[in-house]
Amino acid sequence: MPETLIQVESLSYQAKGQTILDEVNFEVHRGDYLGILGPNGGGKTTLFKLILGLLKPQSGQIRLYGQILEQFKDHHKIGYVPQQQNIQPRLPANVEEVVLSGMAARLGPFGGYSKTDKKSAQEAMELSRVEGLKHRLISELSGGERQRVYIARALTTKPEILFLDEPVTGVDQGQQERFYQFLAQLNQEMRLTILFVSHDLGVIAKEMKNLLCLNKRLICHGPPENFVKEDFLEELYGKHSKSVLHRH
Amino acid sequence: MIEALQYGFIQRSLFAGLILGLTAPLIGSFLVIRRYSLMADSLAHVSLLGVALGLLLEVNPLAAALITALIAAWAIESMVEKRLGEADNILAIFLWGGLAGAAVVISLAGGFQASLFSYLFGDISGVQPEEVWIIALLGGLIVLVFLAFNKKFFALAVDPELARASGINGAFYNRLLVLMAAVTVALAARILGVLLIGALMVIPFSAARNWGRGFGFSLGLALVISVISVLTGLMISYQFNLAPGGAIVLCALFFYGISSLAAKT
Repeated sequence: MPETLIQVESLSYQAKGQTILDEVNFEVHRGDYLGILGPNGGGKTTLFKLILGLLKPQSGQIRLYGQILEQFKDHHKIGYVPQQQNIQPRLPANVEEVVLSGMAARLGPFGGYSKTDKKSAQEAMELSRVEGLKHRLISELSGGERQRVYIARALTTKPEILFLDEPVTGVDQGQQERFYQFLAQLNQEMRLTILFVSHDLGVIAKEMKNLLCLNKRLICHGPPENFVKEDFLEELYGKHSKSVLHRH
Repeated sequence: MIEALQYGFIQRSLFAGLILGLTAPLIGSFLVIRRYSLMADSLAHVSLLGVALGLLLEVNPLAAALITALIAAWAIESMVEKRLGEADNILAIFLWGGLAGAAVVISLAGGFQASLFSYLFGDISGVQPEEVWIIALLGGLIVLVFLAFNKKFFALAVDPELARASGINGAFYNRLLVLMAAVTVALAARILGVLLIGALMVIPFSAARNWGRGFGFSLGLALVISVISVLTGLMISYQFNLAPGGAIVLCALFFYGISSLAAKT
């Protein structure tokens, strides 16, 4: 069994009196490529934010690399690409500066980016195919280009786990295909563990090794082919579940 | 102008002005990109309450302004962090609160309007030798904090959530940034005056970013614009006997006008 990187135990979260997550338990192992599926408001983004330490759960525990979350310090091992990029419309920052900022947490007081840091940023930009945009302002880029910059930013610390929250929103079909190929390459060749939130079961079934269904509770967890059945989908989405299943 | 340089008060005003020109955009740039431009103005109005209290209680008004601005910065950031209201709403409340408090303290004392006036619009030629040292000390502190943590301030300004997810202690650095904004306000109070402090923190960077380059370039250009505005403003005000604070800010606005036009073409 490969090393367990993420352990989620009895995790519950409420906000404004509403239950968002209820007693969720699962594990993620090294090399996994996990698609997370669920309806809007089902708790997918909240789950990511809890694992990343951006929200605090009311009960339950999260362990990263066996350490409880509060004691985990190796943030460079984790890359995150959020659902919405909170870029200011007139932010005067170029692509290279944004990608380098992914390493800011590791700098000590008065520290600057070393040659090695700049080389890592360059490699991440080449991998994400944004190297040619490095002097462009981030605010001038299209949705798809900006998404790739955020992926380069997430890859610049050479993470072992990558969290992607609906990363293809607003990206055209051709770019989506290339993006999935790129992720498969990262997962297979670089052994990157990927957690991917998506609305599209068809994509998860085709591209990913495991599926996790979430609608406040954990509804299923395992290889997607075990769950591409209507009864699971009905539990997840209600009676109008067929529309979710787009086979590619 | 050259012979004027031998006067002590001119030397002091140039020295204090240069320190202000070199430090105001350092913190101001982060306020601009975080859409916190009004922070400087709110802290400035609260610092006026500090100046009035200082004059009333016969404590150094600059020290009193620094302490009240620091307390207000801490309180504003705590309220924003706890989401007790929208940031612009909280900033406006502190702005009016500071001004109202200052008006009450002034009426309680029934005097010192003349001294207070110099803090409203600045009195760079009246800067005393001991005040130059306070200004230099505060300027040094701002430069040190900037050099130590600018990469973290920048990461938080680009995307606060991503920065926190990567292990940056957002609450700590946000608080440090607004405390440094309070220090900049205290530093500038004597030179530019409470009503114009925010201008030099915000306008040079706003002008520089219109050239559409990266953050490092914009900040470097903002420092150049800020220093040129201070020196030109001081020279013009000496030559034509004008209010130095107003002349400095109008020079900065001139650059903003040029850059806005350049950005459109």
